[in-house]
Amino acid sequence: MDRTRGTAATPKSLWPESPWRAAGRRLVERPSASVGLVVLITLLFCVPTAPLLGNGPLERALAAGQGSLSFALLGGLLGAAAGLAWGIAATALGPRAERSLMGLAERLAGLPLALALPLAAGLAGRGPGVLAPAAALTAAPFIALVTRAELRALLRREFLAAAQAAGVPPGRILRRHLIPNAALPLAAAAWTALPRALAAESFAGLLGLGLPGSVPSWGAALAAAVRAGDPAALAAPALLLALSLWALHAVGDGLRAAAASGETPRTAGGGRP
Amino acid sequence: MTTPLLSVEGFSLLAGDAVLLDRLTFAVGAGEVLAVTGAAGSGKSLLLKALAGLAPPDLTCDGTVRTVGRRILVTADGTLFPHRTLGAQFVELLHHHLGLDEHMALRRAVEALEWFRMPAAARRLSLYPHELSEAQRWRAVLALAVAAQPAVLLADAPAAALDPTQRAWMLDRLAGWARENGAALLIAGRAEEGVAGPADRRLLLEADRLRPAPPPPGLAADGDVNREPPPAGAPALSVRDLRVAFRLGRTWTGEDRWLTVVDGVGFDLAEGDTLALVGESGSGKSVLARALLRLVPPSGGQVAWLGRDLAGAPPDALRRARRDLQMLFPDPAAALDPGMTVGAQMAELLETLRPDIPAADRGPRIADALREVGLHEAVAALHPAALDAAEAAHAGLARALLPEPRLLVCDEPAATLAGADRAAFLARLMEVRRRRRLALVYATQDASDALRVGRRALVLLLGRIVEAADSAALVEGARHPLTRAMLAVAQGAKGGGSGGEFGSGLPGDPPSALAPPSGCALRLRCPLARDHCAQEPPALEGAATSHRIACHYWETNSQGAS
Amino acid sequence: MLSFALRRLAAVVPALLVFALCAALAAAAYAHDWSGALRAALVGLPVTGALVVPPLAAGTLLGALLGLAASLRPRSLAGGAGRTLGALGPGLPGFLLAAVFAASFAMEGRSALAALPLVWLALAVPPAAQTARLAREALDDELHGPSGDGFGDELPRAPGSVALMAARGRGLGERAVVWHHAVPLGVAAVAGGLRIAAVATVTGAVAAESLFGLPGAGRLFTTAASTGNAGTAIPALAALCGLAVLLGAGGAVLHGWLDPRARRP
Repeated sequence: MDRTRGTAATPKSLWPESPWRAAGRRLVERPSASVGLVVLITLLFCVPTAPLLGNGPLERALAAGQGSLSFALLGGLLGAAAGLAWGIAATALGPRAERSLMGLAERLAGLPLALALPLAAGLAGRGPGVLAPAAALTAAPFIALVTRAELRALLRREFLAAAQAAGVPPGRILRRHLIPNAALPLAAAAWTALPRALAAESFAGLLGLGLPGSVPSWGAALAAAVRAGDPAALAAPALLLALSLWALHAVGDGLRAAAASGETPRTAGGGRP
Repeated sequence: MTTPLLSVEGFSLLAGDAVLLDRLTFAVGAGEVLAVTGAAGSGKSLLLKALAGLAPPDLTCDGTVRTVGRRILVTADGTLFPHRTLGAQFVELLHHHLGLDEHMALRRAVEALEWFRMPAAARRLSLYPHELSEAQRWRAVLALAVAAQPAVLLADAPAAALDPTQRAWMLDRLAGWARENGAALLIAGRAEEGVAGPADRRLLLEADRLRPAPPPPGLAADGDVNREPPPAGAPALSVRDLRVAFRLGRTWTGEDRWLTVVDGVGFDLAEGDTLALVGESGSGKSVLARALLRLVPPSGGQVAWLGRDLAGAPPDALRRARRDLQMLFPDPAAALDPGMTVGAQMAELLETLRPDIPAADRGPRIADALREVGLHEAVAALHPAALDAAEAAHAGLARALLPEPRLLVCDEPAATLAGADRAAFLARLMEVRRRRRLALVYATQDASDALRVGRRALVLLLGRIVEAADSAALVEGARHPLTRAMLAVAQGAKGGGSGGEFGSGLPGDPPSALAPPSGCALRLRCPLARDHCAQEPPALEGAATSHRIACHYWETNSQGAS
Repeated sequence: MLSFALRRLAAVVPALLVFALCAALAAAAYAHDWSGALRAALVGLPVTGALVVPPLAAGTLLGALLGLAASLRPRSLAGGAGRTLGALGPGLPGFLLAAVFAASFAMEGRSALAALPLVWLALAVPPAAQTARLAREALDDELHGPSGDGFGDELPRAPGSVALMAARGRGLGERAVVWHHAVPLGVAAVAGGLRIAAVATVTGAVAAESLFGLPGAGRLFTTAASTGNAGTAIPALAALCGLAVLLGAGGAVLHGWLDPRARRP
């Protein structure tokens, strides 16, 4: 085997892929993640156009997805932002703030947070302005915990010290080294807010405490079918909800895998850790 | 002559058409210790697994392997099961192999652990593996293998991650056990891992074949030690009473608790001079190297470059100093940002440290630097993930050379490399250093490396200098027990004969900065320690102006030193 | 171990006190009959507990068995079931299954007891799926080494994680290696996921109680919330949170019992 390449003329491969492309490849190489992506794209295409397709039970269920999916996006984005801010604050504000913020996240993660939605809807009204923060709460503690762990691991990595030794000012280290390297793991963490928000809203809708009746949603459709005792009417929304949740999870797992294998250490075996 | 316990004849290992091991023939007799060295990936681990009957099923074995009696393989990581106490693992193994009941098994376990000097062995049996330190875990792993009384013991890079003095001591005990009990011991590992130290015979696995290992040159050979004359001129880098401490938190009484990692270190370095920082894990050499460049904030003392103190320097002055002071990191691959191409990172360094160079000239300069270290200039377009460890090390060197520095601080720069790669990289580093007249601070745990690289060496223990001398003086007469042990081990590890009274390393573990022993930090490991050593820490005092030692008894103890 | 269990259980006492305080304050502030509201929440709690604990335990057990089968005997029926269940799990939350069952089987005119098996079944599936997945992944890692390692080794790798290889090297038999070492580690991984499973099951139970009309704290919570009755809804919620925290602590104790590394404070 060739062991002299380090001092020899040509590197191993002249046109290797960039890290982003490699991560994308790892994502679509996972069968479940690529199926999940296809499902999500199909849903995103079909749900807005469902009223044009016809008026069967499937089309109506698809149309009901408008409310659910848009709310999942709204609540998910809010939850992701809150969770990321929470985790970043815990990392940036020093050990004391870190202990209390992460202790809080740890405790909240052990509570049935999805119940916040029906409670908020019942006591403060069912507008998206009330429900979206509640949905964000169901996801934020988990994202905060993952964010803090990822950032801590990232801050210990040697290339940051190397950038410092290269005289790169702190602001630029943040912009050019920290953020690009944190982006994928944090995106994978933030993604988990989407399925959580979708599940939480559907749960509340099933209890009759989700989005207002004027907004169609899968949870409300499920509730109506259960009230009518009509399994046939229930099938389509239940199937679509299960499919979306599964696809969101599958893509989330794929993202995590894509982010994680990017940092496998490459040492020539047996080196001191 | 009795029949050998392990005999291998014409043994080949094939993966499809590829030959991984080619017709190996050797034998190990009772009480014999055989070392098989080889570079990383030469197939040592595979050989050992195959000898233990654990070759991967997709490989075909050919030839004969005969063993007499029980054989046990200690795998490279020496892993124990995480969910069982040490005692339970001994009981299970000894019941399986020897049919011992629990009481007998635990007694045997304590004996085996005490053979490897596990402190308070009987109490450790109720601990889980994660509650042991790395060194204690290795003691347990080796004790577990030994307690089962194998006739053939195969050890794959045992204790490779430990410090040289510690590892040498453990391997010596292991070999001692094999000789005492008439077992056949086969140790495999890289030459740097000191496996050849206690061996009776040495074989080298290279290009799929086994052959006798060439006798290594002795350490004292002239070409192997840096005997350059001291360069003239005023010191360029001057370090005074440097301290680095990390705050651990607060005790319940409200006092701050500090972990002192570097404690009052001072030295001078002229332009073009070389200095080695030698120390084992926890000696603070790595933190000291970083504190020189202010990558770790010092908590006291002074680091002056060309007369300007860096400790309180404003960002601009610091950036100007960084142009002169560059660093090589212990894991060169990890020191490159995986998200940027090598060239972009080098350009970034030029942009911040050499704003005088126009942007159009950066590309050619980067190509020049890469060529200077022996890499193809196309490496600049690659992302770090596409480089192997040796290429990454060279790329790191190229990056450090880019701003035309005058001092290179190296923190174990070849730690991830082995064998020929390592030698090639160090040769390249020395060549570059000579050509550019660079000053070098070289932190390492390998004493022979240190003497080869550094004209002068500082031996560190727990953040303090215990011996400071020219390399030539150290090789002729090191005075501190730690230095003598490290040198003896470095010499013995290459198989260059016994290293005298310190040849088998030092017992025990390096002291911890969290709970340092009273008095001299080495006293719990030092075979020459006396009562007085526990009472007060020794001061650094001189045998000569250029040779200073921190040991209470350096004058009396070094009588026997050669 | 005992001290760990006591410490872990004692650690939830402050949380329980906080829940009790919240419940009392909300009841005092909003309810007409504050003691009645508190009593109703406490009375509903055993019903919810009876809905949560059996499916959680049975689902975890079944899921662990199926997950182990999926890893040890991938081609068997149970192995295939474990793999499928683990893969589908994320798409099958408890409330969705409860809704499907509630719509499919008309419950009118039947006693609450008749609904019990359906509720248990609906709530047992998610923990079983999660457990099957965790057990399979953990055991696969143990038996075949971590998946997807980035090392482009030229040499073929021996199967098995480092710990199993070490045990084989010491000469332990394959059965002992698998059953004494790999399987306990897989089961320990399962226990690590118990807290999340407990929380999800409590949430599912709230939905199931409302859909099937069972008289538990969950139904009390939903009816009170839909009428905007904070004085009842908040004590009921506090009771549910207390249940989740207790179950989570139980899971943590189990985890610590199975995996000593989890006992670190």
